[in-house]
Amino acid sequence: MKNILIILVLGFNYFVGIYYAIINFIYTILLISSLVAVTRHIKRIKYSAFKELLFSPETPPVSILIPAYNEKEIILRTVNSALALAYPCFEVLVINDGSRDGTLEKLIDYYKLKKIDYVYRRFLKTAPVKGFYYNPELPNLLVIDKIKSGKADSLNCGLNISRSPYFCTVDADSILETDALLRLMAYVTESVTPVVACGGVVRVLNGLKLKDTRTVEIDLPRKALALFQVVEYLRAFLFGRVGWDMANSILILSGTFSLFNRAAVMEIGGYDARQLSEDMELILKLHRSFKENKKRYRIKFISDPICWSEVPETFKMLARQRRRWQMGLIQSLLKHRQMLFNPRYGHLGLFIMPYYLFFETLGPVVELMGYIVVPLSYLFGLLSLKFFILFLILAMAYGIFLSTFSVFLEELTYKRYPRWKHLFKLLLFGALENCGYRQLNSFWRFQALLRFLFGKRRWEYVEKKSNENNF
Amino acid sequence: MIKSKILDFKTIFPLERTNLLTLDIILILITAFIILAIVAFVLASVIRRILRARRFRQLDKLRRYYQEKLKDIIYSGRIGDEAIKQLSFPPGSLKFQAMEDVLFKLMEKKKYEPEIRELFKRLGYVEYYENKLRKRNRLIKAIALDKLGRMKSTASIEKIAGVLRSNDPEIINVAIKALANIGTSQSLETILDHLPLIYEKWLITRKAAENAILKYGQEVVPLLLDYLTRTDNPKIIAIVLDILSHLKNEKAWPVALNYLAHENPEVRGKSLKVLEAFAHMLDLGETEKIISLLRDPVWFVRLYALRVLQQIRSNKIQYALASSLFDNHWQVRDEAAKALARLGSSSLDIFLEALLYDDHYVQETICDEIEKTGFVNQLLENLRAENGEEYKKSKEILVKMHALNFSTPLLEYLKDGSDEKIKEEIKAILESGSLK
Repeated sequence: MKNILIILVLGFNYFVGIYYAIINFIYTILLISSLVAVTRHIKRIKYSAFKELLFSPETPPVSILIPAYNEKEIILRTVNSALALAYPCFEVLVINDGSRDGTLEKLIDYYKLKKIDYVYRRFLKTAPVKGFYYNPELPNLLVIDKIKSGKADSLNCGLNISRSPYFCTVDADSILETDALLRLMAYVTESVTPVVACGGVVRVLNGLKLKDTRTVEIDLPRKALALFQVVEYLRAFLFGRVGWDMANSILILSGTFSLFNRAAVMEIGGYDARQLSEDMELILKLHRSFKENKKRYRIKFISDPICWSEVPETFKMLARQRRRWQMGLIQSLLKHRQMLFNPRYGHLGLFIMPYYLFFETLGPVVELMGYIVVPLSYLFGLLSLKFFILFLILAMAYGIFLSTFSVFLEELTYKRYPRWKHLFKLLLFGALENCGYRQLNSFWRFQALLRFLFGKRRWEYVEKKSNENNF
Repeated sequence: MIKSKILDFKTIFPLERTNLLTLDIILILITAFIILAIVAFVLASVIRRILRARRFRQLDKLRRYYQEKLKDIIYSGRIGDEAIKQLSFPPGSLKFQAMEDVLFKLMEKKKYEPEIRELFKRLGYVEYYENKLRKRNRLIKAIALDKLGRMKSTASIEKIAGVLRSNDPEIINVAIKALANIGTSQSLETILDHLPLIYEKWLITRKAAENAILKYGQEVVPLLLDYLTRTDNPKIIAIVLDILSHLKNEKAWPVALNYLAHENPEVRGKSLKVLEAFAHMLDLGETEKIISLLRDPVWFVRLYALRVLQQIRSNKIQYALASSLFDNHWQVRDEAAKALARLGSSSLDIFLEALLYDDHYVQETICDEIEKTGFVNQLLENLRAENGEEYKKSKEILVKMHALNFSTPLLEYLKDGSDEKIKEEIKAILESGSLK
């Protein structure tokens, strides 16, 4: 029995070694690709005429969909920022998903909305709508009040109402930079290949000082948990997504801020209301549909349009958010499991989806088991202390390296954190996140996997609070 | 026994204390390399900041200095060889960049434009960027094109035109924009001459061309009208008419009228778009022609016709608009209902008549637009009167709206409204629920 255990432990050690080598090899490729892509994009912006779109009659109209559930504290900030966008033709559709905290009343009072009857055609099935609120003096704002049914269903409701060829999803706790939509659309209009979805960068809003929806001073959040997330978001958006995008392999565009071709989304039946990660599932569905129909398409990530989004500042809320993301990932992969290892879907089925399965879904399991098995190997005398420590240092060093690289990439390109203290804080927290924060994340993701296996698949509500500096 | 097995494993798997030398060294080397990379990135971030701050300080200083110097030279009215010698710097140097920035800044003041254009040429900037057009790298080429356009280098038009024949839509886009920035009739003619080529290949280059031509403003109108006489390509005609529709120039409308009977629906639609701004100038015969287009087989032509007609306020037009309430395309129906609702009380009869038809889509469209345009408030106000035509018709429409479940304005008025008479009337309407 002990022999079997020892064989297992040793085998696992080798597995961890190989697993670790492969994942870091992939990260290194992503890192190099992102460096090339981001620097090239920065140069392109210099001659891109995105500002001309503002005055062009050819700029396509866009519907901005803002689903909201219990967002009383922050909803006005979000809607005001959407209404203040520099874009020639857009409508803002706020979908109140049965809020119980007075979100709807706040919107009615502030924008002096009147209840109207509206012809609601359910092209996509949604929960019943209770009412429509409108002010003729603000013709590009419509508030829809519906029975609570989740974010995906609310987005479908918005899709039923939208009459623009494109729609942009924005979370109710986020604010868009005034030119963000224009920058996204610039790519869509300039691309030779039809763009069906296009996502921008999400950055951490906490710490930002705002006045009238415009950023007046960029600062870092005070709380450590939010600071860790600043580095994490930089890494995820500046090098992760940019890297994947180089191979048209984006599987996730954040629902916080993404632009979609409405016809393409309607054709695939809109969002799946049963999914916890509706944004990822929609992208997978789009890939699948276009690949199956052998149509040319592009799902694009662009690194300069920015949306600032509030991140959780407590462990409880962060854990909920991360569990939901992980559960959504598992759910989406399972739903589209036919794509896995299927050559019909090209590199997406053969490499990208397997990567998400083995490294993003099962990664936390391997990581947490590693924390148990590797010390056990040492205790059994199967691993030298020196090797154990060396491996630990290597693992941490590579984690720090990735974070440092992301900060460097930010420094090289957009430089949104201008002060010296910002730079040093980001570098410091990039290093510190490997000592606890990363492990905690793995734990929450592992927890998500367990909950998924045991059928506890529910949407965990993440409460957000408006910072007094923010409005 | 167990101990000997462990030893065996150690032989099979070289993770054991004594056999780890090679693996150790590999790990140490990789770790050392990564740590070095971390240090390098940290240092690169810090040093880059310091260097860039220094560079921008120097650039600012140089910009200030040369701005003053250039102003003196320009004010003196003569740009002599001595001045050129003083202001010429090796390409790529900080002074070269500072001078370029200053020239671009001064270029914004239209007053000095001719002098600055001359300076760009004599200081070697035009030649420098023209040479870059020969590079294969797309970014370098695009940046050069953009700069030449911003320099308004008329001498470079031919070279830029050469780029229009390339197979790279991104480069073509920048080239079109550069020509538009140059802004001379020669650069415009270059765009127009290449229009069939630009149009055929990519949609995005077509859009870039349209935007570029629009940048020329009203002065482009005679050239475009002349161009229309030289082309019979319906796609190109449609583009030119579309551009003309944005420019809203009086000279364009007689030309647009000629295209109303064109066989291509795009051309018919765009000519109507041109006429939208001049609806008041149309005579009876021309109006009739447009009314006949409300029966066009293509929906967007009908929509454009509707948009022209709603600018004309007359009973005849109102009834023509009414016929579009029954169009089989929702955008046309919506537009017709919106137009009629905006006309106010004079549309009461039409709405009443249309609501009598047993067409659910039409009824909903009308009620929808009555609410959204705010016309419903006027209908409610009309209930204040004791009697009269408007009172009767308004009440009848509200009753029908209520029957179609468009009752929210009534209920809202009951809740928040101030006039007791109107409230009484609303109560009566709501009680007539049997109509539902």
